Amino acid sequence: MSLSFLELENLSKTYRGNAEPTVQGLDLRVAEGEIVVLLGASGCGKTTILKMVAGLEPHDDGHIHIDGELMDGVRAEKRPIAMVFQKALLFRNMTVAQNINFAPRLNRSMSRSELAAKTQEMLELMQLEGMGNKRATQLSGGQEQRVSLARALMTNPKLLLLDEPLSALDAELRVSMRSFLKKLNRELGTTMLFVTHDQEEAISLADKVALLFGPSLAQFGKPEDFYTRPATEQVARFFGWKNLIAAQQDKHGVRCGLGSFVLPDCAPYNGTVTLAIRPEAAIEVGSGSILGTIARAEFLGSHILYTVDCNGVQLELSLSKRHEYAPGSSLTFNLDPSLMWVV
Amino acid sequence: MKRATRILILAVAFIVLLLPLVPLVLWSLVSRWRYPEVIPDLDGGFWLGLSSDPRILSAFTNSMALTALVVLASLALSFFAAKNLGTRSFRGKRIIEIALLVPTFFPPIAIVFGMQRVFVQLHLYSTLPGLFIAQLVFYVPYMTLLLSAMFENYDPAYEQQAASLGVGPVKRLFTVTLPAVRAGVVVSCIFCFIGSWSVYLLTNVIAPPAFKTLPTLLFPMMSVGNNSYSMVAVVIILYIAPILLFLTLGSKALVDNRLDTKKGGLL
Repeated sequence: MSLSFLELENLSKTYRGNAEPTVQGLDLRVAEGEIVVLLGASGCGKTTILKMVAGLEPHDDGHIHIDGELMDGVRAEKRPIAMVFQKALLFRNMTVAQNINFAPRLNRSMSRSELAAKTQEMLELMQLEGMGNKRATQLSGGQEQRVSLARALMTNPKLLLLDEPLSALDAELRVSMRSFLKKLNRELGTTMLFVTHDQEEAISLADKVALLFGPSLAQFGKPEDFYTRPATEQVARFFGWKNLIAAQQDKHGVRCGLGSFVLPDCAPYNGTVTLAIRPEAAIEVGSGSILGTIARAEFLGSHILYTVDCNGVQLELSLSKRHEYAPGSSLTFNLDPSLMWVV
Repeated sequence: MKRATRILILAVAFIVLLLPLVPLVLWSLVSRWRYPEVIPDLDGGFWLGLSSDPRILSAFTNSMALTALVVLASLALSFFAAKNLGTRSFRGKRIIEIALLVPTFFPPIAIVFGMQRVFVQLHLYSTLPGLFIAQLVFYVPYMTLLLSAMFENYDPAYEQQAASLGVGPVKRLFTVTLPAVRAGVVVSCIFCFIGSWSVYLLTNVIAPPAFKTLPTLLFPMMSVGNNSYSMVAVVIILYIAPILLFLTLGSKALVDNRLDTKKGGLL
């Protein structure tokens, strides 16, 4: 993997009529062949970033480099990208095959035989064999999205931009399309910038996740980083760190109402901090040194979420169904330091 | 729909639309049709003498050329304005829409004579470019309004999709945008054609006196009375035939479009 295939440098955008910027000072580097997922709530500027990279929306400040080339001011059709939108946007006056070979056919970038062979190859890759002559509206949602993806891949883009392409699909199809995209990424080595608001989708698909809150980047890193070392309280909350407790940190470790903990990976600091504890952090249940009382129990299918009162400190702990406790009963446990972090 | 119902609808449509034209066609085919003849002697009427009267063919050619130019120019000038008006929201949009309706607020005679005054000053009075521009003054806003209504249901994301696939603006226009608004373009062109084809007052006032179109030839011909009925019937048929033809082709395009939408749709 080479360094910085896509480089966004101090990228900013404020829409006319808006007082607040939609994107502000964004720095992002994507290596070749990587899948980077832009994750964030609706309206946080993810699609705007994608459109700026695609050249469909001008940026106010900053620079965009793709494969070392400065893209500022370069028109969309001249950029080495292809974009797949949330809606499949198939040209419905065309057949499936005509949709797939739309760009090279119009740009005459392939000979007739090449075009036919590559279209067939794409139909096979997308498991759409025998559907080339069907009209676009004769397809299911999943098939439409695969045609849209095939149409984008047909242009051999250096960078594939995907704007929530799976959000309109049902849960089962979404999962299979995710695996399909990962497989494509492995087989073709195409760099992908993927936008979603779905945390699960982001984590399962990404080599790296860029989490956006408002116009700025909150954290950029590997998916597991968000579960083990969130950058801020906000990031921690977004990624399900339900327990955020005021604590004191010094060279010996972190102290709070639950006891003292040594967190070796945390940066040294002296002073008040917030200790984040994942709900799955409870270990040695029934034999640990921390004593609590069950305030509430919520059955969530594969596990039970308990609200535990530990000397005035409220903790939410997720335990397997092996550990069933009634509200009001006592619980002893310890906490796994690898599932705790200081933010 | 049942076959019998379809036949009934076609029969009613035929009686209402085409039956009134039968006497006209008969009149064009006979030199004389006098009482008490029930069925006249179909001797070809004025059709046989059509080539010997250069006024009519020249007026037909003038009308066709002028109308074609006006329709094409109006479409070209209004298309992108209509697209912006239909797909974007911006401050002052409502004012522009009202301004486009202004030519319909006032009686045409007031506008035409006002225009005459301005065209004299611009040295466009009594010239063919003047007549062409004068028609555009009416039909560009008209077509812009018709097309903008069509563009309100148009999703520009299809063009963005094509651009992101490396397809340039001209190819996008012809392969993405135009097919998507084909129905609106056809309807607008039909209305513009019918309007421009029928213009009488404007041509009479602005065009050079020697320049005749079918309406400017036909109306005096009908009022004078020294022309044969056959000649007038031929001119009327030449006048309404392109309108009927254009309407038929337009309707077919719209039906094809609807079927296309059912099968696969446009965009």
